[in-house]
Order: sequence, then C-alpha cells, then structure tokens
Amino acid sequence: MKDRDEIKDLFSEKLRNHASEVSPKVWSAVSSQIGAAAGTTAAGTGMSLAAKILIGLGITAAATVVTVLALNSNSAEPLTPEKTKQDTILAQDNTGSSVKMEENEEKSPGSERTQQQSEMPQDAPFNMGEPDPADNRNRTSLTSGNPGTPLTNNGTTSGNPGAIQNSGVLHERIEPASANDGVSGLTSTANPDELLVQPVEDPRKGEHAAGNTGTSDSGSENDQTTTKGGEDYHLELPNVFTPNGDGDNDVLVFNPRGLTDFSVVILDRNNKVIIKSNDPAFAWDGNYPDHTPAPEGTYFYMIVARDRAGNPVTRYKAVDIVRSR
Amino acid sequence: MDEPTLIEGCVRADPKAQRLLFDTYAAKMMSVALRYVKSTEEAEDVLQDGFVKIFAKLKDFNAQGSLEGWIRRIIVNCALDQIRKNKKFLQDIQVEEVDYRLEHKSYIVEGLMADDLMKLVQSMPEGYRVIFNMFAIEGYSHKEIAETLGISENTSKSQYSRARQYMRNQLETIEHER
Repeated sequence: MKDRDEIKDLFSEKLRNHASEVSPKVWSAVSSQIGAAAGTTAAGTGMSLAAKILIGLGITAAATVVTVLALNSNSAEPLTPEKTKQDTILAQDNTGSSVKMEENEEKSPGSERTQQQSEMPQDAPFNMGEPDPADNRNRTSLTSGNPGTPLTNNGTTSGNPGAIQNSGVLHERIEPASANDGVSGLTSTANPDELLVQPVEDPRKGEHAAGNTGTSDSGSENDQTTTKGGEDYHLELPNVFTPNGDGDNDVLVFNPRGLTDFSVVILDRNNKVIIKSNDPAFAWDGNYPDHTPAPEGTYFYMIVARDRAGNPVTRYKAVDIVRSR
Repeated sequence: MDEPTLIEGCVRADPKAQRLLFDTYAAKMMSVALRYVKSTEEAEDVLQDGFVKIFAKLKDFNAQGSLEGWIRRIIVNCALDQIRKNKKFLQDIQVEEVDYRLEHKSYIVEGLMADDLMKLVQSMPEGYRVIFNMFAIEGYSHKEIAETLGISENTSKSQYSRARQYMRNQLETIEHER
C-alpha cells in the first residue's frame, strides 16, 4: 500500500459503477412529477399549471391545518391527547409550519413529501410527543411493541421533522412492523426505561476495533461465549452461516443461556424485518417466512434479553449468508 | 435506442424514453446517493429530486460531455443539498453510525467486494465522507470541491488525506484479519 493513491484507484474502480436497488416508488414519484411537466410544451418551464395548482392546494391545506390548530389551542376547551400532541409539535418546531410552506413554494418536488410529514402526527394518537430529539436516539434500541410504552411509530419521530429522515433507519423500519402485531416483536416485560438507556452494544467498540490490529477482535467476538462484567450468560453471535444443507452451520442460532425475555429480530440490509421470534431456541434457516431462501449477502440481527440480574442485554450484529463455497 | 435518440425522446417527454433513461441510470445513481446520505429513504429522496431535475434540464444537456457524468453531477448536487438541509441533525447520529460498522469475515472475501467498500464509505465519519466521495470516486478536483462546498482548497485536501488515512487503516485491519 505504498502507491501514489491506491485508495482512490481502488474505490474509484470498484464503486464508480456500483449499482444499488431502486425502489419502484421512486420512479412513480418521478414520473408523476415529470408527467405533469409534460402536460405543457416539452420545452416548457418544467412545471405545468396543474403542478402549480397542486402545490398551491398543498400550501392552502397546510395553512388551514395550522390555522385550525392555532384556533383550537387558543380556545379554553380541554385538550384531547391528540390535540395536545399536535400542539406540542407545532410549538416545538415553531418555525415548522411556515418553513414547510416555504419549502412547498420553492421546491415543487418536495411538496408532496413534506406534506406527508406534516400529516403524520395525526396517525399517532397514542403518542404524547416527546420533543427531545435525544430521546429518538436512545430509543433506537427496542421499544416498539412494548406494552408499557406508548406506541411509538412514525408519529414520534415526525414530531421533529428533521429527525424522521435520519434518526436511524433501524428503528424507523422496525417500529411500524412491530407496532402492527402489537404483541411480539422486541417486547420484554422489562421497564422500558431501562432498555432505553442501554445503547446498542458498546458504541465505541466497533469503531475502534477497526483500528486495532485484529488479534483479539473478530475471532473472539463471534461464535464464542460472551460473558460480560461478572453477569454470566452465554450468547453466541455468529457473523456468518451457510444454509446449504451440508450439515455444517446451516442455521443461525444463538444458544442463549442464562438469559430471560429473549427476543430476536432479523433484518435485511435495508433494515426490513425478515423474521422475529421470542424463542431462545430460535434458529434461522436463511429462508423468508414464506420459505423462499434469502439471497446471499449481509443481514443484521438484533437480540434483546435480560441476564439473571435483570440487566438488559442487547446485541446488534451483521451476519452473512453464504450458500456455496 | 442510442443516446441522442434517448435524450431527444426525453426532451419530447416521450414516456418510453423517460422510463428507459431512468432505468438505465437509476441503480447506479442510487449507489451514488447512498454514498453521500446515510439512509435509504434519504437516498430515494435524492434520487427522486435528482431525476426530476434531470428531466427538466435535459434539453440543456450539451452532447459533447458524457450523459452519465452529467447525470451523476446532478445527483451529487442533490445529495449535497440534502446533506445541507439536515446538517444539524446529521451531527448527532453516532448511534446509527455504530450500527453500520463494518463487519467482516475472514473467509468470504478473497478480494474486497464492492459491497464491502460501499459499507466502508457509508461508515466514514460525516466530516470527510463527502469529500472522499467527490474526490476519490466522482473524480472532482479539489478546486471544484472547494467551490461546491464553499470551503478552501486546502481544507478539501487535508480532509481528503484524513479520509484516505482512515480508509487505509480500515483496509489494513481487514487484511490483517484475513
């Protein structure tokens, strides 16, 4: 590694033509927008009358909502949770509504999305907004279906318009899924607060592990008994398995011992939930729930449990499926 | 359909041509977007905004240059806009960065696969990820980067060299473990 800029060469060669999967919804969004543009002459300004009207409607609608809310909060009638929440949101991103409207005006492509965001809180009546963005972070772990916790779905994050976009793919994707089935998911009977304050496994470790010379790292962390700070429990954290029917490492298992309230979620690399379970003996055969095999590649799993002393144990890790050698 | 015909079709707003143009470049551009912004959702937003712009401006495209290069620049600019829009939030997402830390396995990769490099880029600290992307992969000059981002050329150079050091460490670690 002593060349002039072999890093640049490497990345440029390998990544310049790298392609990633594109969700079909992107094309439908694009085509609806350019479709509107095509309504005028092809060499037009890029925005048709229809599009402008739509945007105008959007702005009006947003303004109406704001006005209605403002009136409601001024009146003395008792606030329902829903209202309180919406008010909270308005207060919290005080500039929020007007900013959103500006965005609508200056930037047609965004208008649709922005509005969706502003509407979202209404879908989350249970959630009495927790305005602190820091909460979003802590919640990254595992609150979703927990009966003791208010249902946290999109509403929470959208209380903070910025947060919804980058507060972590992880919990955004997981929560709606678990909230749907309401019961299972990553529930544990634990006091949610305890879980919340527990960050995903030792945040510093991963980054610095990359810097160490690799003597201790991957080997010992994977496939090994994990004991930590005197609480002894056993949990295997494989980083690869080979569901090819050769009898060797065909399933992903964790063999937990000394743990209660065990739950696990498996995600694909887009953080979509593939499968989840509360069974400590859970073994993933590398298939989707409909029994079609998941393609080779990287997946993630997240484990939540408690040790004997009742301390939360959470693990988040990547695992590769390799089907052939 | 060759490129000039394709472009001409798109300018005429021929839906078939538009679809073809999108299908031709969307996957690659998704990758570009994913290197700049962190989440798939954001990358999709970038892609969407980018392609709307691309179709709107295609009539101005100068046939001398490469169409893909031109498209790529628009996507990069949209990604930068997106990053700017979320600047203050991007700074406090360490937890997520940790989640995406690179995991590697000793026997899967003979050579490093593009997907691994992709992950490596995505796990880079925000500060120099953008510069690394622009310089090393998109091939911008430091001067262009400086102008685009409103920083000095020297900042761009020093950030890039830090980024390179970071990558070198990561790669050496990986090699070590193999």
